[in-house]
Amino acid sequence: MRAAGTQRRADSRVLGLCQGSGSCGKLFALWALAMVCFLACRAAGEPQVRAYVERSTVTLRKPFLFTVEVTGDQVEDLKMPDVDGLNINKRANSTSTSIQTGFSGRRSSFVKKQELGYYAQATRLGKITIPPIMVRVDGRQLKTNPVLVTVVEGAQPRTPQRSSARQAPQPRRGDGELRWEEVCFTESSVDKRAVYQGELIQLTLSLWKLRLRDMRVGMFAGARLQYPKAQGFYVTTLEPANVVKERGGRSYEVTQYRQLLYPTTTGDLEIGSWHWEGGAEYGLGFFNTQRQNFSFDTPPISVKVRALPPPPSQFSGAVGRFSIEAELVNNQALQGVPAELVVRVKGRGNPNAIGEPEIPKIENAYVSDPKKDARVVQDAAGATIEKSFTYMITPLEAGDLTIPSIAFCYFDPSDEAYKTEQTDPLTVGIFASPEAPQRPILTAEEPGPPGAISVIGEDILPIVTDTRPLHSRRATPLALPSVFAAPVLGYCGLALFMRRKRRFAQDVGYARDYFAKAKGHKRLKGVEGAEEPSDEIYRALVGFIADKFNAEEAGMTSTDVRQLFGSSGVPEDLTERFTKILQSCERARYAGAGLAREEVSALKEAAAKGMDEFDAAVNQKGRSR
Amino acid sequence: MIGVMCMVFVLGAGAFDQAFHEANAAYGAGDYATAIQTYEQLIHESVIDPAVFYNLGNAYYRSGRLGPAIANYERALQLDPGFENAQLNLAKAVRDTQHRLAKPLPSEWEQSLLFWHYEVPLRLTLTLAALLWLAFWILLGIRQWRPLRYTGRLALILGLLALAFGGSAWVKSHPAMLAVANAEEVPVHYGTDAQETVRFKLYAGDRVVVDQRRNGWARVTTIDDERGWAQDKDLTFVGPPYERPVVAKDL
Repeated sequence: MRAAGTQRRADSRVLGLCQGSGSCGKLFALWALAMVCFLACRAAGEPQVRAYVERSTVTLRKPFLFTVEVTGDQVEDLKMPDVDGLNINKRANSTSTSIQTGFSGRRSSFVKKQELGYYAQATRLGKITIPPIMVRVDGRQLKTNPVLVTVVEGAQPRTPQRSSARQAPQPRRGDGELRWEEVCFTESSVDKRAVYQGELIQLTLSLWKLRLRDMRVGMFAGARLQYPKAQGFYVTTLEPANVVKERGGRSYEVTQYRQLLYPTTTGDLEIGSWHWEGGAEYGLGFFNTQRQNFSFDTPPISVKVRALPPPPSQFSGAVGRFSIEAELVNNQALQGVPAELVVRVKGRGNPNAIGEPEIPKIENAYVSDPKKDARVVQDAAGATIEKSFTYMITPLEAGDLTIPSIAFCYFDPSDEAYKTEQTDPLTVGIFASPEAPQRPILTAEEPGPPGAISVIGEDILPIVTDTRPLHSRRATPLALPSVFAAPVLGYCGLALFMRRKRRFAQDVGYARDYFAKAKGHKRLKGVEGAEEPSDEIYRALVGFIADKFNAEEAGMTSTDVRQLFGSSGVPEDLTERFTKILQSCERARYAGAGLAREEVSALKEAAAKGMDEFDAAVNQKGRSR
Repeated sequence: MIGVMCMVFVLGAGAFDQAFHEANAAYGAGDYATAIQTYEQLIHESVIDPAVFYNLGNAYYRSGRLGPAIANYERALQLDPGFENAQLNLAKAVRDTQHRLAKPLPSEWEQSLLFWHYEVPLRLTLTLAALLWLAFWILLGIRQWRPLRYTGRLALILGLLALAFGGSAWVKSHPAMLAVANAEEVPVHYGTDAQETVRFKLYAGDRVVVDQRRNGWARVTTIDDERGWAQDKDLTFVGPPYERPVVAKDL
């Protein structure tokens, strides 16, 4: 690089000599640019070496990475010097190579850059200098720059010597090489492979993540965990748990994803594969991070499910190991006022399979159906379930009320036998209620003893006999759309009407043209009874034409009409006919003699026909335009 | 019975009440089979009334057929969610089932967006939607005639309300297909073949959602998200359409 710098200074001097000469200056500038490119490419193609450490301040006896960066193809005779206070171990397997393209003359050249990583460990405090290292590159003997390292006690903030994306090394420990396979891996296990139907199986996926400084393993963007398909099982998924474990002298954080499976059928069942996708990041900072993606699929697990032995009649359906307890919320109660009895079944097993315990018949009390509640408590061994049944017991008579022992029968797979757990009998003192006789809870088919409370509601409610008139509601597919479409259509009609109305109000010519024909015909209808029929026909025709052309009606003559028609491109025969009618009317008016009835009818008819034809011709012209 | 049916066909609407009273009388006399047939015939004649479904539910319950009883209570409640007797009898019938399986819940988006509509009957929702729709367009018409203050905003509010009630009515009239197990035990298989492994079993009165029907099989999902295929003949479909359960045809 120093050679290139010297050459650039020389080029500057040459450029300075040619200042003031226009074309000569341009030529020199082009030549200089070409030279700079050539020299830069030559410089890039020349073998170079340099050395650096991942951080300038390192911790005593903690490994750090020392890298020799070589630009060139053949690297030979690279020998690490003995440095006092520093152990430089064998070369890392993370040699990275990059290829740069440059341009030299007419040909492309490829420059190979290699980063040779070494583990180093400081054995004394203070400043240590790694001297220049001799190395032969492409037949040229070169030496690296010296590197200064400051060694401190304990954890220290690190100062990156340089920031480069190409610096990312493999994750390593001081005691040897570390492969990515050791950074992150999964294991899948079940606690049992042969079970009874309904028996709990705990399925665990352990995700092992190496605990190392600068190492981060997890599910980053786009990654996912897919639980296995477990057909034939009722599945409960637990919250993941994290534990720290040692393996191979290394410390791992183990995330355990757990599922509780209860086979719902018998035979050979299969628990599918877990799938985990994620990544690991190792590095010093934002620009100096190495990343590895992982995708794991665990092998499927087969489980043999046996049928339960023939159950006793009181079997609740629960499979596992359970205990039962009963508790009255109050030890004393009032006659007719319900008391809460809570029966809890605790243990390990499918909460959905635990049927309600059978409450023995309690004399002089009404027992409601229970309110059920299930709770799953996670623990290290899996999960314990607690299912509670809350009964409302309404004492019907005063005195001591005894709730007999409640039995709960379940199948214990570990002993392969049905077992029955029982609660202790409970006694509650019932005080007489003065209201009791007047407080029927429900109706009774048979009257109870005096002072007793009767119970209804054990049966369904009766049928409805009084209803509104029944009608057949056959499907009318258009009825509903019509109901919703009618207002829209009405609105559209109104909008069009309002638009037309506004146009009539704003555009007089349009309004006159629109109503001209109707107005003309109306006038012609009144001709028969008029004093001067020819005059009336004349005015009707002139009025029609004036309306059509939005012109002044007063003073319009047949000559004006001819001119107007001529300028508007009205067909000649129509113009001629109109003119003739008008002239006939003018003659009759100025001659002073009235027209005969037949003549008036003929004129009127001709005028009406002329109006229609004119209107049709104008409309057609408007449309064709 | 045949006379009643003929009367229904010939006389039409007025005869429906007559048939209804006949069915009620049969029920009162303990002749549940006749009552069931007459109620079912009314439904076949498109007499869609909560009272008919409720009474039919009772008749099935008295006949010891929990599945169709629950299905008919569900139908009654679909038409009139506030029908208290139907709610209580449904609760009682469900208590009599073996599993007491809860009714599958509607989709989450429906529960979130239409949380308010479950207690409103379909007919009321539809009427409100139509009235609000009409009012919306009338207000727009008034704006055309003479722009008054606030009519635009009011029309916007009415339009949004009409859309909300219209959406609710649409969802109510297109509910997820609910079915109820008819038989004492209904095996649910992995596929549409009776030889396929039985995945789990439904018991009489268990309610499930049906999302697919194929060649006499229905794919059912329970509230626990257990899924499999059951035969159509073992289920009563709540509808609409209001299909007659297989057990009723046997009567």
